[in-house]
Amino acid sequence: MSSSVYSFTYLRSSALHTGAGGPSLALETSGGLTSHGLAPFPRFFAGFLTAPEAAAGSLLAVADVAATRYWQPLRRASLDPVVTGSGDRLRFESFSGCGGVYARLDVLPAGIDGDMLGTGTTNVDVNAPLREALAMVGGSDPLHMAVGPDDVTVTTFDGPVVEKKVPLPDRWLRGFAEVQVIAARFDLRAELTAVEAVRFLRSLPRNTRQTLWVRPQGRTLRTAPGPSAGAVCIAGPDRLRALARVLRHAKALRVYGPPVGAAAGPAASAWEVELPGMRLTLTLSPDATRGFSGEGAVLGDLATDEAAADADLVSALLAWEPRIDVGDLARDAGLTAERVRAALARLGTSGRIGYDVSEAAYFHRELPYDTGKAERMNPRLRGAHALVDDGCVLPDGTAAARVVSGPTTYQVRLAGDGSCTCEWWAKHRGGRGPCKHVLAAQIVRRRTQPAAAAAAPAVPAQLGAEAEDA
Amino acid sequence: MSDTIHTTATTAMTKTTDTSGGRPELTWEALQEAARTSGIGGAVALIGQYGETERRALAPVLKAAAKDLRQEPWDSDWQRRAKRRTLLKVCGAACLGGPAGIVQWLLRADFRWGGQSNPRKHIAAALALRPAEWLPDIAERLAGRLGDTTTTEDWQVVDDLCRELGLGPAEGDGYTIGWLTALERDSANDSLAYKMTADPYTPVMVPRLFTADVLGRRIGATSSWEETHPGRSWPKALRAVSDAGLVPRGSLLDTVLSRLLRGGPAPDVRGFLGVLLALDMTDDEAAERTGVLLRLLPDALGVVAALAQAKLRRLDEAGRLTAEQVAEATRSVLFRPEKKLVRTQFTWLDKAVRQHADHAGELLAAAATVFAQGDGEMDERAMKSFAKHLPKLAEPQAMHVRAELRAALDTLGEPARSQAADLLGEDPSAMPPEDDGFVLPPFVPRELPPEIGSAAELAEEIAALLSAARSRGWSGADVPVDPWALERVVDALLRESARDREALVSALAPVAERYEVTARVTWRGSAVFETEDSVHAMVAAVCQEEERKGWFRRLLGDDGTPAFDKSTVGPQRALLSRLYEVARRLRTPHASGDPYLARPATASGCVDPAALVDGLEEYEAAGRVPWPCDLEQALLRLPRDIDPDVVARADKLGSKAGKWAAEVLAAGGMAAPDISLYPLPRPRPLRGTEDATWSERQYADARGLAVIAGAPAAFENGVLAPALCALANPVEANRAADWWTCQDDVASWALLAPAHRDVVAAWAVMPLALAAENDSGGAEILPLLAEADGPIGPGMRLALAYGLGARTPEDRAYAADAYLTLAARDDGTWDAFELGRTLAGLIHTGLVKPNRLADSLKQVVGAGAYAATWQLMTGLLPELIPGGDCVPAGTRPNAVLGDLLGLAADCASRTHGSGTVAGLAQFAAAKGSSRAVTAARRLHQVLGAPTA
Repeated sequence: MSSSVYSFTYLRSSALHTGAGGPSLALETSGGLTSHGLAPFPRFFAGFLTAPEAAAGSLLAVADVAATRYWQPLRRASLDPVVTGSGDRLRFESFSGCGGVYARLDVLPAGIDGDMLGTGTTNVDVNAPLREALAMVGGSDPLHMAVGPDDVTVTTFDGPVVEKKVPLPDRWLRGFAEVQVIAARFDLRAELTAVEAVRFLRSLPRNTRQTLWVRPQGRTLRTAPGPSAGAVCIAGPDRLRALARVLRHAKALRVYGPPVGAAAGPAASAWEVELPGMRLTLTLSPDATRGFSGEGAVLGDLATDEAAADADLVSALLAWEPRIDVGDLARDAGLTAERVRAALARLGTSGRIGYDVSEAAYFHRELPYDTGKAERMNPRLRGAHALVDDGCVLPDGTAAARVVSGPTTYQVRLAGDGSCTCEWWAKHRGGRGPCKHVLAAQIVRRRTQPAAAAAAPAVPAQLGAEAEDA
Repeated sequence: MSDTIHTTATTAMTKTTDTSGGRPELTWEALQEAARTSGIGGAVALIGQYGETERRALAPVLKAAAKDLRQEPWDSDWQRRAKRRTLLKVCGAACLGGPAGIVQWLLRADFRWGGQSNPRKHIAAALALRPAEWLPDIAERLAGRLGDTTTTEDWQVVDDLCRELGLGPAEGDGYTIGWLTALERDSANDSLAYKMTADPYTPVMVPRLFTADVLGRRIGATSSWEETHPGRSWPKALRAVSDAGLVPRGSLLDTVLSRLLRGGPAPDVRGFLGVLLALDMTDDEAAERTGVLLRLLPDALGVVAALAQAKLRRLDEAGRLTAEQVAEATRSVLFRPEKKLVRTQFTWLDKAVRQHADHAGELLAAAATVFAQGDGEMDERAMKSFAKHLPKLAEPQAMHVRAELRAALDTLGEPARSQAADLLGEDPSAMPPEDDGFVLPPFVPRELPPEIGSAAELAEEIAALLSAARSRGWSGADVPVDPWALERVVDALLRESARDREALVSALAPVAERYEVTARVTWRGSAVFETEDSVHAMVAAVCQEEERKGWFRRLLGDDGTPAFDKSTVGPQRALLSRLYEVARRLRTPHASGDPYLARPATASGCVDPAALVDGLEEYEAAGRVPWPCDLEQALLRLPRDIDPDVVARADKLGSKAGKWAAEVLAAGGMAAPDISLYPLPRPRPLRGTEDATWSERQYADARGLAVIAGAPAAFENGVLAPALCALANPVEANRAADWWTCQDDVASWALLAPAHRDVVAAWAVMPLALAAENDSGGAEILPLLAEADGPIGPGMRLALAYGLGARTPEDRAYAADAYLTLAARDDGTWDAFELGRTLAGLIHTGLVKPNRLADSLKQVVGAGAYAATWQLMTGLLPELIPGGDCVPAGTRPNAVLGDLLGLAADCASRTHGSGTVAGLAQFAAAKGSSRAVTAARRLHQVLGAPTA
């Protein structure tokens, strides 16, 4: 597994200063893309938080997820959260070291009382003294927060800059980006009041390897023996302990999950806690022992080049909106809504778009990592291209093919999302996207029969079948 | 000079005899010679005689030598190699260029096993030869590369450098961990404190001990030695050091407290807590730090919060806390899940209300935080405090408290709710009843899965089945076979084979090759054990080439039934006989036109009688005899109500098979065999006691098994029914059975006789009884049985009872699902009272543990099955309550009885249940306030109350 070493430079360390006007949280930013282009220490916000204790707890929860490996916990991870200024709200995102938990804190307009000074995405520095200081925030005194240093500090500060060198594996980068596209398929499954939420979350077992299925029943969730319609999968229930800090301020808990049938395998799920003026969402991977990057959510789409041009066009039209409207974007770009959605999904895997399950819409943010390279390095896609280049794909009519891989021949059917007789497919039955044989057959079909391929949708059936109207 | 340089550069690789410089060249061999004669120190001294340039010139030689050393084959002369490694390491430190290169060299993994000598002095000497300005850089880089697991040698090099140069301790957690390790190792004879006092770095290093996470658990690990080796305990040593004044006590306390505030993994936090306990904060010091102590209460580890709570309480008793701070502490603690902390907080609150009388309202209002937890017991405790103090409050404060109570009223559970209503002066019965939306969802029968459409899809499904079987074989994991997957495959094989055999063969050939399908799969002789074997046989029947004629007959014998081992139980034999007959059928090409009689037409597995008669008519018209197991399975799968027209049509059939079918159809399907509980020859001792022998503990007690009397007369000559209905001695059958092999197929038994679920259940009781003790599984069959038809007799009751008391939560969830389905169907066939009696019997013999049962019942009550559970309780409780039917009065009640009584009270109050429970009144009137008695009182109250 390859990893690249990223280097982030902060003007100084984030800290909680106690000044004349009360405590002030100064979060330092590193270089990233803003609406004015690349800036070394962009400034997003200066103002007050209306619910300081809840906000401090949520920031700590996000930072905890970034610093934890839930699987193989003895190896430490230390990755900084990513902050996005979106015009009317702030978003703090983090991805755990094992790649299995994605946390996002959305500080909505109701939770802030101050000026948004810029839009963009960067890393934010979280260090041990800051954690202690955040844990000390209590009571109801208003808390001033500044994200990014102001101009005066930038020009006059002459202390040593803080530099962090972090190796980030490609798998981690792919997972961070892919979780957005996976979340795009989620629907709301259950909503619990604060009391029920506390009772339910405290009744979960502490076993990190277990996979639980729960179903909404009455006002709470009940354990089900296996997948069924409307059920939600919790893989590794212990990973929800990051929510423990904010439960006392919670007003409601909402649970999201993908559509599940009776014979489905383990699935991902998203848990959103509603706080005063904020939302904290935790998305869990389908299995506690692996992260998100093996899901193959848009591999079928990446195998083509059509969506690349659409994605470039759409990305030029984005302007850090907190909520991307597909209809408006389709009108501006002159494309159909379906092609815009495919382009957005592709941008998602490049880390340039995020998905907010609660609003059921994408938002624009550019991750300060180079995920484009990671996307092209997807091993299954490389395997598929290798098969095609070696001439191992023998089409068998328009809807089937035989793929010779090593000594064995697999039969691939291309109806719908495609299916195959290989052992990997037999094990996962499409739960992790297409296998490399299906991908290779799809690539060959597109090349030899463009007419037939144009008739078939380029986007996997689940993504295209969303009920949104254009 | 330049000549010498030039010469050394070109002759670096050769042994030199040139003495043009006036002294011998610096070569690797010369160094080895020096080491041989006067040790590594001699080699270093030799290097010291040369200048920088000569040393640098030697660097490539050393690197090449290291490479050669690594590639040397292993031989027994490891000591020589170890010595050479050390020599290389030291010389490299003296010769390489640049701090980065030196650090890289010193940390090379090749040099790790240097034998017994510790080269630290030599390395120090070697480094001393390098330019002075490099040394701080070397120290810093080395320190940066230290991690959790670096060897102490590396750390010692850094340490020596730092001390030598007077630099102060190096930065980084790696150095801190190394320092701690070095102190621990050296303190075998002296105490840690003594060592620390001797070390000038201590004042700087002690605060750094609290930065790295892993140090917490290392510090904590030594506290177990406090008795035997008090000198080696870190908390005591730190205390001693702070007492001696090396580290200011105030700042040490602050450091520890902020570290505890930061949190982290529990073992680390406990270690640091040990330090805090050793420091023994005085009240004055605590008073200075109330802010931090208050912030430890909400989120820190339980023991840490307990300590903070104790300290703060002492301060409050001494009058040093304000009412606001007490209110904040109350709010923080009352949300915590630890009951002990919450109870202590309430006790403190009661005192504080009296102490801070003018802020009593604020304090009481803070107590309402506990309602957000939703724990009934804590709610009642809170109501006690409210009841005690609210009436005494003055008006403006009381209003605030009342507002809090009213806001929380909706979320409260039963006894707390009426108490709150009383306090607020409202009429409890006028309030709208609790609306939790707990309605039992109606029963929606499953849909029949779609049939497989094409040969290619069939190939995929078979590949999925075989791959699941293979992974099961490798890992031994419990992946039950999906009975419907099997049925669909059988159906599709027969259909595709009739439609287009060549296409089917070509589709299945790659799969057969891939999974190495043969008709003989087992290595255990010629017997067959699992459905996986039958899938192999079916695929082989389709795909195997013609020249191997006769081997199929050899496998199946002349009568076509496979051989079974005596460990294969009845239903498994029935299932396998039928599947192997399908394989034989696939083998005979001229039989491909025959209709498939046992095709399921409903989701519970029943056939369509009209389709069956059609098929028989087709057989008669073609003059062929129907396949016997196929016909028998179809007759076993007949639904309960059969259309009289179909019966009339069947009467017209002429063949022997047709007449048999007509007879069975006219009788309305197979007559239900007689099922009863296995009779007890003598009272058995309780399991787990000394009286029970090992074998009695090993196998389920006979009282917990069912007996099937035998196949009904109409089916005596068949194959499947006699196998299915022959369970005269279940104890013997259980002992002979090999559940490990066939437990994954247990769920498939439900489709054998979908209208006679009790028969199947009687067999399923055996693996389920094992599931009550082990992780055996087999519980997947319960939901399928609940959806099937047929009377619910002793077999089903025992199966459900064992399922509800199963060991793993997954098995219990299956049983809960089955229970809810039965409750929702509510078609009059189910009597939960009898199930309660069965459960009571199993609990008394120790076969089902009551706490697991309570957990399952909580789940089903939570899903809304109140009426059924109340009925179950009427059967269960009289046998568990002391003074009831079974247990003599006065015995200590079972610990879980309180939970069960509480559940019964919930159910009774929601269904307005009536009826008496023997012994309840007496038990409820008993003295004491244990949970069982309080719950019994509540139940008695609910039952005695007039219905609304």
